[in-house]
Amino acid sequence: MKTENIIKFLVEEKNYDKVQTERLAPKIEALPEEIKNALTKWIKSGTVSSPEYNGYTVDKILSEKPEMTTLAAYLALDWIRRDPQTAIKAILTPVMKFTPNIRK
Amino acid sequence: MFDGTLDGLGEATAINEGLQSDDAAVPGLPEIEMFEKQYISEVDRMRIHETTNIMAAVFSEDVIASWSEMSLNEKTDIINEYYVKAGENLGIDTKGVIVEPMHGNPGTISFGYNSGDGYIHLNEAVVNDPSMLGQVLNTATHEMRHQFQYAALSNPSNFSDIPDSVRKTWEYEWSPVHYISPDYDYEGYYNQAIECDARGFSEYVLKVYMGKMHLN
Repeated sequence: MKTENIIKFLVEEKNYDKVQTERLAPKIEALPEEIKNALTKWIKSGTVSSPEYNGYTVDKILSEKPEMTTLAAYLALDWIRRDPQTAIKAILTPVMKFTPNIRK
Repeated sequence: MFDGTLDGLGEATAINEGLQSDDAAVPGLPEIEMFEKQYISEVDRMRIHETTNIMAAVFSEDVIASWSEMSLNEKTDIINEYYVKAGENLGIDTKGVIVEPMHGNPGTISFGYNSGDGYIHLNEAVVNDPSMLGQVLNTATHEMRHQFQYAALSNPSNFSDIPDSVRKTWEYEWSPVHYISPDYDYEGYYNQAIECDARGFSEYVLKVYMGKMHLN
């Protein structure tokens, strides 16, 4: 599935914020095949599945960070794959936001 | 009950007694080391030193000892005192602290946020939990630093030690158009300069405070 179609689906069908989502095109494009395939499966079927890296799956990330969009969880899983030490520490750190009202 | 440790400092190791000289460094946390490398000026060191002193004066040994017995209102007043006093010292507009319920699953809830109007909002459940005092201090200081960033952009002449390059980056990232939401891109959010700066500042202050109070 092309990245532009993934973004179009998320913005139009899932009501994702257009600005926040469109800027993620390079990251979606750079996802390894196994994660991108799982992302595509979720988009086509609604079923969340993913490979596991360092004990983390998309399901587990979403259970720890339920405020994340599903796309963010797939990107976070890729971060864990690339840099598990930093990513896991960061994901376990609660968010301290300063800019409210950014629409999901 | 408060157990004499301040949760939220991760892998904190050696504790300094404080920034007692211009050369004093507080190594240990990646955030602090990154903060040090970024641009930290002598003026910023002084801000850390003074913020730590205010934290130690407000969150004194007596306050820590009785924290678990205090009502939510009493705790809120004390956090507010720290936030307002430290903000006044920094020359920024820190109007106050609002403690309120925030939704989320246990263990994943947000600690707080800065609403951009001089107020910070803290999660009532976190403030109510005595074991989370360290995180309360960390969050209040983190959000205070965001307020500082905003002030440095609004009144550059009052914060002339902040290099133009840093200011430009902050300005870019503060823009709602460019701000990366953790709900969309956690890595991008976490690595924003404004977040690295706020984490570095707050963890620096906390670590020095812990050293002063012999808490580790």
